[in-house]
Amino acid sequence: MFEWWQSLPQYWQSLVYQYVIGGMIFFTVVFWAVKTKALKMSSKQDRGTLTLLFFGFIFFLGVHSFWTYLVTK
Amino acid sequence: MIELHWADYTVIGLYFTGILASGIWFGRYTKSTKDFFLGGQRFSWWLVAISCVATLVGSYSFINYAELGYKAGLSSVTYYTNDWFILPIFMLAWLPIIYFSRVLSIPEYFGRRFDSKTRLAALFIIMIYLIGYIGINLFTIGTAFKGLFGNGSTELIGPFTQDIWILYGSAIGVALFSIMYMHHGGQTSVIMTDLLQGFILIGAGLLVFGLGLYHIGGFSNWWSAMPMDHKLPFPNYNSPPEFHAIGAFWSDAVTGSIAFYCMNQGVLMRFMSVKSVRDGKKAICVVIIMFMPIAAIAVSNAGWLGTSLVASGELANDVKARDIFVTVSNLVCSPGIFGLVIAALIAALMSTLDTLINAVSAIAVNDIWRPYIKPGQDDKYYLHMARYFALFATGAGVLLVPIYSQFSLISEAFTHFISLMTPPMIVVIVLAIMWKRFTANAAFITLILGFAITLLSIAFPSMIELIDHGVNLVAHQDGNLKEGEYVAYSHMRAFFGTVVSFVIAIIATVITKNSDEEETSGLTICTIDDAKRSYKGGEPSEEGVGVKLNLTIEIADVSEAHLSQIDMDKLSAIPGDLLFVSDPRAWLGGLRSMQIKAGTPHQKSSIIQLSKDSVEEGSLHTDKEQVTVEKLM
Repeated sequence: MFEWWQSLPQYWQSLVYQYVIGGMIFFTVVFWAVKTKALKMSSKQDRGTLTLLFFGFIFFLGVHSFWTYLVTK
Repeated sequence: MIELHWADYTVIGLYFTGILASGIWFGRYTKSTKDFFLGGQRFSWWLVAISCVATLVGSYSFINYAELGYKAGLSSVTYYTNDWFILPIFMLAWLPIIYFSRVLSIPEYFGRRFDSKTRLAALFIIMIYLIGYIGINLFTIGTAFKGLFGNGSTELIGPFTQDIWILYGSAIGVALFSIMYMHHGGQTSVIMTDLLQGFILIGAGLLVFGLGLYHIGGFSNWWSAMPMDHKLPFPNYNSPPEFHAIGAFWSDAVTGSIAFYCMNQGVLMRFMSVKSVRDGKKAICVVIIMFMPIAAIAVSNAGWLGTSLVASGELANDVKARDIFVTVSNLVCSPGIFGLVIAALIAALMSTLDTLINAVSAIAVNDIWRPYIKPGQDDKYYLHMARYFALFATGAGVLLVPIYSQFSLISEAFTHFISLMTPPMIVVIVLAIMWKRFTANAAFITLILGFAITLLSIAFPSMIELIDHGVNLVAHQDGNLKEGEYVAYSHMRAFFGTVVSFVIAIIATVITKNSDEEETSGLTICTIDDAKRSYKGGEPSEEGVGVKLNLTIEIADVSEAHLSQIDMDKLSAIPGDLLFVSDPRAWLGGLRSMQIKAGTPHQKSSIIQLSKDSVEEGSLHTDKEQVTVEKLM
């Protein structure tokens, strides 16, 4: 694992670190909100909020990954 | 020194006149202290979103990110595209809690959730944070004006050189101008002028990019002139010490962003002014996913253009990074357009400053003066005091300017400040809203001990080295440091402070018990429904939310809003539900509107009965009669 990490170029390390640690923060809070019923799956509004949150995460991940790939390919 | 054309002066003059006029004009919608500090909880999501961008983009943004863009390339956008990770904290927990609990300030939240000593500690930290924020904005506008009009001469004019006079004179002058319109109309004036300033500063920033690309000979010329590492979206993993991905993530994406959205009283007041939590959620999503990336381009592009202009020999390679925004803008803009760019720079300062000054005033009045110094006075007295506090906040911000000028990079100065001040506070805010068991004593201990240990790390940087992700080691390997020396840790101190504060908070919670003063109902993520019930005064229901009716006003001797049974059915509303009554012109963004409870239904279809006072409170036109009515909860 450590060797794999070391073998990654710095620009991929930056991206992977940000989305792994940032993703942990993001999904932990979302999970906690669902568990505590602050976000109710029975509510149409809340389901929309959840979809929007996931879309945004994937959107930024996609843009950053594609951008890095395009510049370094 | 740059010579301004008469057309530039004209544009700047028109800008100042326009902002002052609009600030005063919209100030007439302010009728109470609730309006003054919170804007009456009536604005639409788009109005709050655009004005929020103007607050986010401070004058330091243009100078700081252009400087960073010049030195590091496109990765300068990192700071504007990494906020999504912490969005659930704001959107799912903090926003509904503060909105539904009707908390007017963050110290007040601490007072209700914990106790008075924690409230005082939070008050102290937040005031320093806000005044520090004012200081960095004043410093950068002064730096920009010094770059414009300074001549670098060491000759004294009175006690100071000409450059020092320009630095302080411009900072104080622009700050006083902000106070002039802000105090006429409070939050309403701030939001409406920020709306205009948001368009100006983003528009001017993008205009510089367009003109710059044209000047260089097109996109491909610009792109090919940049080195490969300047084209990446992120900086290197852990080097150089002043700007790296780990540092940007912890100091900005985590601590900086949580601090900005959850600890900044100005932002809290902006989101409290929105008509509903649903609109607040929409606003924050649009800000982060759409406006922030656009703003990133607007504020950074002068630096990116600078790299190409230096490569092509059009700019000398010894051009100062801190002056790159002004230098590039002046080069690519014609007279008049350059005036607009300078106006945008001032707009960026004023739109941030007015929010911060209003926030300091609100805290000083609501959390210090009203409860402790002079309780029981009338609104007029407290508004009068708010003016003095605004002057105090500005003066204190000016005093910080010499401290910020000690740093080589503006971003480094700002990061140092954020990294030191915010970690204990954001840990306490996050645990307070997420963890019901988190105790008042634990919160207080975390604030005091967390800040003390983070401060101690300045004297003993070896404390940070243990968890610095190799930042110090790489700096030594690169030959940037001598044996025994440490990097400044301007970014990694945020990570250190967060980890230390988190550990303290957990241990302290385990060994302490909840006190009698503590209240969690409606103030944690587990109890948001309690806050909704308390806000509405009954059981909240989603049914009918989003349906809008156009009704005719009838003035009656009533205290609530009375609709016909048919209209109540269309809205799925029952007496006691919270309604939003607004002018049907959506482009007003809720400027003429109000929240009011539904009363018992009558029999006149398409009629809404309101009292004369309610109509006046919402600034509704009785002569136009038609209003839009929707159910909020």
